[in-house]
Amino acid sequence: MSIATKRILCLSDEVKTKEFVQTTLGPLVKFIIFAISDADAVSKTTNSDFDAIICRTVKPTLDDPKKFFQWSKMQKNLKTLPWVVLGKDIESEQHLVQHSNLKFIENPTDGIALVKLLENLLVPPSGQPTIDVNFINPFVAAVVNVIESMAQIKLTRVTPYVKKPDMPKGAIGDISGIIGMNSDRFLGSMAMCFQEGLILKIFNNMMGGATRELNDDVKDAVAELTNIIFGNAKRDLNVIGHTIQPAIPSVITGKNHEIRHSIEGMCLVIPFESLSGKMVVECVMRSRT
Amino acid sequence: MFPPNTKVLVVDDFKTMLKIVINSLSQIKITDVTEADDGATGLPLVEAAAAEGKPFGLIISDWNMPILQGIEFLKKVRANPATKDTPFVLLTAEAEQKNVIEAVQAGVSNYIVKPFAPNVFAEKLLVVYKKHFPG
Repeated sequence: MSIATKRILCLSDEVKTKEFVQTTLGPLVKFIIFAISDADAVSKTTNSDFDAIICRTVKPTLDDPKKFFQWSKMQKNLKTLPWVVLGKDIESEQHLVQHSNLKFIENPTDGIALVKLLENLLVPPSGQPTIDVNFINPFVAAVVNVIESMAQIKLTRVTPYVKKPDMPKGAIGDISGIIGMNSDRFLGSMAMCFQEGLILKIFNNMMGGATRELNDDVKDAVAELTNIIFGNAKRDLNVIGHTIQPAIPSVITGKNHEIRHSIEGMCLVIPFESLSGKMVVECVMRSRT
Repeated sequence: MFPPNTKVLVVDDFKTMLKIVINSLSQIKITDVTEADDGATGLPLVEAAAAEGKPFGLIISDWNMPILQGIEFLKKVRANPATKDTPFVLLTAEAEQKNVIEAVQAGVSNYIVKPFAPNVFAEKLLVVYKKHFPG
């Protein structure tokens, strides 16, 4: 992996800074967006996805509540982004140390140092894909909210993880809903896998019956739950710039069946527990670039 | 509120949601409900009912359906002079701002996001009723 697919915003009204960033990163990074003012930066980052911001250190830019830095801390899609500040070393900017996402680099600097810093910030060490909490949280919120609203069952999230090569490939459950999850940046799929006891409890709470088997009505309910949970998560993800497209779910049944996603890629696993049983959400994604 | 004898069309490709909506309607005493599993099967029902002089008094439709999506179904209902003023509610998990804007521009009467609580469903229908039948 490299920084080639990362989206970088460079905020500076100085020609020299712009030329330096363009010369250094232009051959390596596909998306570099330049903003010449704080207002320009606001305009270019509203509802857009970025991976890092580069700027010259100017105290007013970083301290002034009216400026882009302060504004960005209030935006869901920007507040955790790393900022690479070309300028004075950290000792002279002690009051800014509290902002842990600021990384200082000497100015002038050589391009190699800048590239190395960006790689350290944006590219995980080989074999250790990272979990983006901004990506996981909408799924967690959607699952918990939808199941509680529709079936009055409280689910507890268990620690999410990235599936490693030596783990079983598919999610294991008794009935699963699967839906394609594609955006401008990645191809993927989402699977929701339920143990039989849990889905029957959910179904009977929703519909007021006492069904004891995974019949066609239960399958239909799983498809609709997948549809609603995906729709809710998609809404929150698209607010932060993910452009995920709508899709229609399908359902698979079979005791302890395995899901084989049609896409090979990083697999995020989000387990849930309840008094009635367990379920798992799996998200598999592969970058389009 | 819509009177109990209101003739309602509910359209959703998932039976689970059809049953939930029908149950929610029964809680406000509305029981004359026709079901359809897609906008493509719902539209002929709307047109036929209007042609017979027994139009639907309310349409509740999902957005994301395989053949004729809810938004297109809404536009076709609004394009027909015989049905253009029919109260039409979109019921969906697709609640992004651009969807809401598109639905409003297409003439939706109201928009209910899944999942919904029964009281929210009733409140939204009351708003629709007052909008279409003020005073």
